[in-house]
Amino acid sequence: MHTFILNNPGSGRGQAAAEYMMLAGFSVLLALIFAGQIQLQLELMEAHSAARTGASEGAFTDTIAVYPGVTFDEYQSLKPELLEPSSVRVVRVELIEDGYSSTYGRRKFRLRAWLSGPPMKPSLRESISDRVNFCIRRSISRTFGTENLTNTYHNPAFSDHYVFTTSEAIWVQ
Amino acid sequence: MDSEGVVTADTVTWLFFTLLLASVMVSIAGARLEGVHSDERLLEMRILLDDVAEAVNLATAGGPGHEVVVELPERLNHTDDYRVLVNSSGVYGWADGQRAFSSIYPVVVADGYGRTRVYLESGGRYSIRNTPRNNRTVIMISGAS
Repeated sequence: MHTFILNNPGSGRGQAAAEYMMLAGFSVLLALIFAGQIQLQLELMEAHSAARTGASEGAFTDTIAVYPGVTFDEYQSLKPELLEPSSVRVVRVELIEDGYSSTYGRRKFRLRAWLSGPPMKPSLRESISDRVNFCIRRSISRTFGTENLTNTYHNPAFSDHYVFTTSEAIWVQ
Repeated sequence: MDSEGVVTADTVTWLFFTLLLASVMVSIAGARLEGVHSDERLLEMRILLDDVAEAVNLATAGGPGHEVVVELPERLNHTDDYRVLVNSSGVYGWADGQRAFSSIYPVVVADGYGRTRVYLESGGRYSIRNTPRNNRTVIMISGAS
């Protein structure tokens, strides 16, 4: 606990030593700097976590093959294989820093999902990857309440201080 | 020194970090729970369609006269309305803008009026019976008591 040093016992109320004032001031300064950095780091963690949640949602959609109406109609005519349940799993979601984006005035990050699933045609994998990526971006937009800043595809997705895009998923066995 | 109402720097720091972490954790947990709720709804639809498809396949495989009775829930996940359609290619489901399909062994499906696209109502109880017609297997779907 910090203790006050009384300079004058007769009228010492409300006084503090210069060392204490300097120490307290320096501590407040450090705390403010660190608080800012910590908040930014926590925001990044939260976005990464939202991305993982979104990726799981996307993979789960493919696993049980329940799709939005428009997607279902498209798959019914072009990719009927995707209407059958499969076993798609998210191995990890990678967060790659792309540096400062002058377009958006924020630091930009790229998210890349690593997926695992049964052997299938590249076009089918591409569709699954697209859905997982969409769900990743949508999850970030929803988490930070920034749906109004982006487009229908949530591309790019925004957090309070960062901007996120996605790239084609990597498939592993 | 008066020690009442004093909070140490340690406590303040601990409280600051705890609140910071707690706010992030609550946000993450909220997002996860929402995702799980959504997944549960979709999963119930998948299970329902697979159950109906399995009943049709069982009736087909059981031979003439074989009957399977299915009961449909009032709602999916206690909240969502849904619709189910059975035709010769499979079982289709609609719920909250989502659609799904469960395949069946190709067979003619009909209801009591001869319609080959049979809609099943939520909360209904249906008899799925293997009924030979003109030397062909027809799966008749009708309301069961």
